[in-house]
Amino acid sequence: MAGIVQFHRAFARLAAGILPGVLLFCGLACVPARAGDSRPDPRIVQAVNRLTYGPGPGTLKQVEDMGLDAFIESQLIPEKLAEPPKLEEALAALPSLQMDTVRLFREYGPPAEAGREAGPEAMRRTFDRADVVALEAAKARLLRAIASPRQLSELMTAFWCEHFSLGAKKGLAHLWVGSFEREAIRPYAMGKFLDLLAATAMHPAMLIARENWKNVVHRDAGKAEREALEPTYAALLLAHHTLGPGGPQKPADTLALARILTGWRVGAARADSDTGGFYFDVELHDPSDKVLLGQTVKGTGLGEGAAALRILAEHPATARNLCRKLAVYFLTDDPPAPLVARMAETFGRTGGEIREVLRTLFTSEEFFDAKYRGGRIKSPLRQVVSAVRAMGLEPTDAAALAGALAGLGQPLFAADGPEGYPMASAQWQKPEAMPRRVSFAGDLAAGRLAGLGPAATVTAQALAGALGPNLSPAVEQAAAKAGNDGAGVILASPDFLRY
Amino acid sequence: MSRGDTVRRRDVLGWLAALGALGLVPGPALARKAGRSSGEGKGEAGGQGREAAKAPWRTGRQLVVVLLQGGPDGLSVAAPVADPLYAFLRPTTALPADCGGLDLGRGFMLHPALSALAPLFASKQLALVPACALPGQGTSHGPALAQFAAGTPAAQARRTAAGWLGRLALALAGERSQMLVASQSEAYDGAPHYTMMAPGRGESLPGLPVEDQTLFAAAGRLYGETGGALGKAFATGREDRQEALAKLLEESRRAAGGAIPAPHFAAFGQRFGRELAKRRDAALGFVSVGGFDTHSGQGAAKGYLADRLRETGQGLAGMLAGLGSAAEDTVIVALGEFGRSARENTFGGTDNGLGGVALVLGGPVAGGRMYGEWPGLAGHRLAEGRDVAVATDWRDVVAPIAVRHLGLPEKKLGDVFPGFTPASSPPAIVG
Repeated sequence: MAGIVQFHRAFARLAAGILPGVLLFCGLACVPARAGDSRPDPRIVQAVNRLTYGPGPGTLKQVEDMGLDAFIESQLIPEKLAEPPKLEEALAALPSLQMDTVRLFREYGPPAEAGREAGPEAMRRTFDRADVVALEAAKARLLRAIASPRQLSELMTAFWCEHFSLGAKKGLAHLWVGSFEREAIRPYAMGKFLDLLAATAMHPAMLIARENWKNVVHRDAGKAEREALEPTYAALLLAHHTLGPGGPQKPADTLALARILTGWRVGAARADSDTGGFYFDVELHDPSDKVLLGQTVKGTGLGEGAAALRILAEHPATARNLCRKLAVYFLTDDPPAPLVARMAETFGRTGGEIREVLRTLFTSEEFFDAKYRGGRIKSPLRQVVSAVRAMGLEPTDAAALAGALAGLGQPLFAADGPEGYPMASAQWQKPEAMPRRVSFAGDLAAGRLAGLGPAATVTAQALAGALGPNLSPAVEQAAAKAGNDGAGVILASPDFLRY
Repeated sequence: MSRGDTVRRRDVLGWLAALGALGLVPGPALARKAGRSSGEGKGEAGGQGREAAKAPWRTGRQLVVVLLQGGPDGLSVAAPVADPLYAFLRPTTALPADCGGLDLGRGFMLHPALSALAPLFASKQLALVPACALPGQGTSHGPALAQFAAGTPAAQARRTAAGWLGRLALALAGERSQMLVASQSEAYDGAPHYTMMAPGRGESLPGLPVEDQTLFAAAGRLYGETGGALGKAFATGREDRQEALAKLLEESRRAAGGAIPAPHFAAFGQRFGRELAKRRDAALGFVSVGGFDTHSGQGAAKGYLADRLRETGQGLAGMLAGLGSAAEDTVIVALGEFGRSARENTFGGTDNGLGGVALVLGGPVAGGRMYGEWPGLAGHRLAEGRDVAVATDWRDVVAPIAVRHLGLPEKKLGDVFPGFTPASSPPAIVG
C-alpha cells in the first residue's frame, strides 16, 4: 500500500518535472531568436556545475535546450540514460570488472592448498594482484565519471564510496574495493538508505576492512562462553555511517551494536541468507537480548542486525547527519539549516529515499542562490574529471589519470580515516596542493598524459566555449595571450578550480 | 702480450711523456710507481716476474665499470610496460608500450633512445639486471657515491678504506696491476697504478627542463588578481615550489660533478674503447657519466632523459666498437649509484630511489635476456612504499665477473667487498 502511494507521488513529481521542460523546449522551437541568446541562464550553469562533474563541449547548450527542470529530473532517474558504447568498450577492457566478490577471491586470492593456510609468499602474490584489481576499479570509476551521461549517479557513487570508505589498504579488502563499489554502493546510490547501509554492512570488503569479521562470541551449548568483541565497525557505524559524530549514541550503544553484529563472517555460504561471500555463524553470535538507543533488540541471530540497521537508518539523527553532508557536497561547506531540515524531513517522510532528498535539494531556492555560485573549490577528483570532460576527450585508459589523481593527493580507494576524503571544499585549498593542480593542468593540456586518445589536446577557444560563463574575461584574455599554453592556463585558472 | 709488457715497462717514462700529449695523464699512484721503478731498474723487473707467476689475473681480460652518475631511472631504461601499475605510477614519464623500444622479454622494453644497444641485445652481448643496487644503501648522492666506491653500505663507518676497484686491482695482479680511468672516483682509491685518460673538451650537460614555467607565470597573475584565501594559498604554494625546484636543480647539477657529461660521452666512449683495446695490460677500466639525476622534466619516449640515454647508448656501443676484437675479452658493467623513485614527482621528474638497473655488455656476456628477480611495482613491494625494492645486489653482478672472467680467486672476494655474502645463485651473466 505504502509502495503504491509512493509510486503515485513519484509519478506526479516526475510529470511535473518533465512538463515544464517540454513546454520550454516548445517555446525555444517557436521563438528561434531566443536560442541565439548570448549567455546561458546562471541557474543552468549552477545545475550543470553541481549535478555533473562539469560541462563538456555543448553541455550547457544541451541543458538549455532541454530545460532546467527536465535536466534535473533526467539526472534523478539515471536508469533511463543509456551509457555510450565507447565507454562500455573501455570498461570491457578491464576484466576484473566482470567478477563479483567470490569470483575475485577465486581468481586472484591466495591459492587454496589442500588443508593448509596460504603461505606468506602466496599472500604477497595475492596483494600484488590486488593492487592491479584495485587499479582497474579506479580506472573504471574515472572512465564512468568522465563519459557517463548518468553524472549525478556517478557523483553519488563517489559520495557513498567515501562515506562508506574502506580506509587504508587492508588485506583482502583491497582486492574487493571495486566489487564493494559495484555490489554495495552503485545499485543503491540513489535508492533507499537502509538498503545501502545493509549492503555495505554485509559486504566482505567492509567486514574485513573494518574488522567486524573478528567480532565474535564463542558459544558453548547455546550460551555465550568466550567473548572476542571487536567494536571498531560498530563504533564507525554509529559515529560516521549513520547518527554522525554529534549523535545521541553512548558507549553502551556501541557495545550493544557490536554484540548484535557478532558472527558476521566472510566465507562460503552455509544458508540461504548467506550471499556474496558473507555468512552468518550462529555459533559465533551472542544470543542475548540487547538494548540499542533505548530500544530492545531480541536475540534472534542474523535478524537482530537487520533490526538494528533499521533503527539506525530511521533515526532522525541519521537523517540530519546525511542530509547535512549531502548539502555540503552539493552546495556549500556551511549549508543553511532550514534547507538541511527540509531535506531531513523528506528523508524521514520517504523512509530514506536518497533520490527524494536530492530532489528537495535541487529544487530548493537556496540551491540556486547566487551567493553559492563558484563558491566551491574542486576536489582533485573533480578537477581531473572536469578537465578531461571540458576538453571533450574520451579516454581509452585511465591509468595515467588515476596516477595523476594520486599525485594530486586523492588516490581512489586509498583514503585514510573513517569517512574517506572530506566533502568540505575548504580542505582542498592547501598551499602545497595548489602548484600540483597547476602542473596537472599543464600536463593534461600539453598531452603529456597517456591513454587519452590520439589527439589529446584542445584549443583555448574550444575550452572556453565548453565552459561558458564559468570563465571570467580576465582568464580568457590570459589564455589568448599564452598562445599554445592557452588551454593549460584555462585549466590552471582559479575560475576553473572553482565551481 | 708478454712482449708488449716488456716493451712498455722498459720505456715507461718515455711512454708517459707521449701519453701526456695524447691526453693520457698518469694518476698520482702511477707517477709514484714510475719514479720508483726507474730508480730500481732490474730488481723491480725480477720482482714483478715472480709476482706475475702468482697473479691470478687472466692477462688481457678486462672489466670496465661505467658509473651512470646521478642514478638513472631503471623504469625507463628497462621499462616494465606490461605492468599495469607502471602507467599509474608514472602518469607523464611512463614509456607507452607502442613507442618502438626493443622487447627485452619478461614484460620489459628497452628505452627506444637506447636503440644503439638493441643490436647488442639481439647478438646476446647485452644483459640487463632490473631492481639492482646495494642493499642497505642510502639515496643521497654523496653517501651513495661513497658507498658505491667502498663497495659496502657501511662506507660511512670506514671512511679510510680504499675503493673496491682499488682492492680488486690489488687482488688481481698485485703491485703491477694497471687500470685505465677517465674520471675521478674514490672507487679506485688504493689502486697501485692507474692511467687517467683526460676526456678533453666536449659538449656540456644541459640543465633539467622545467616544463610549466610559462604556465605558472600566467597562473600567478590570475591567482594574484583573484586574491582571497585561494590566491594566498597559491602564492605560498608557488613560492615553496620554486624553492624546492631550485634545490633539486642544484642537486642535479652537483650530482653530475666530476663525471663526463652524457652528451660528451656519446663520442668519448669510442675513444675510451680504442684506448682500452691498446691497454690489454689493464685489467680494469673506469669512467663515470653524468646527467641522470632527472628530478624535473624527465620526459618519456622523448625528452631530457631520452636524450641522455641516447648519448649513453651511443657511448657504450662506441666503446665496444672502439675495443674491436678486444671486446671479446672485455665486460662492461654500467650502473648508477642508485635508481629512482617508482612514482614520478610533481615536477615531471623522478626523485632519488633505491632499485636501479645494471647493463652488462661485451663478448663474454651471455646476453639477450634479463637477469635477476623483479619485485614488481605493487605498493607493498616498494621499498619504503616509494622505490623499486633492491632484488639484486650489484656486487652479485660484479663478483662472478671478477671470478669467472678476470680470474679472481673466490676466496679473495672478501678482500674486494668486505662483509659481502654472495647470493646462493648470483646471475650467471658471464659463463
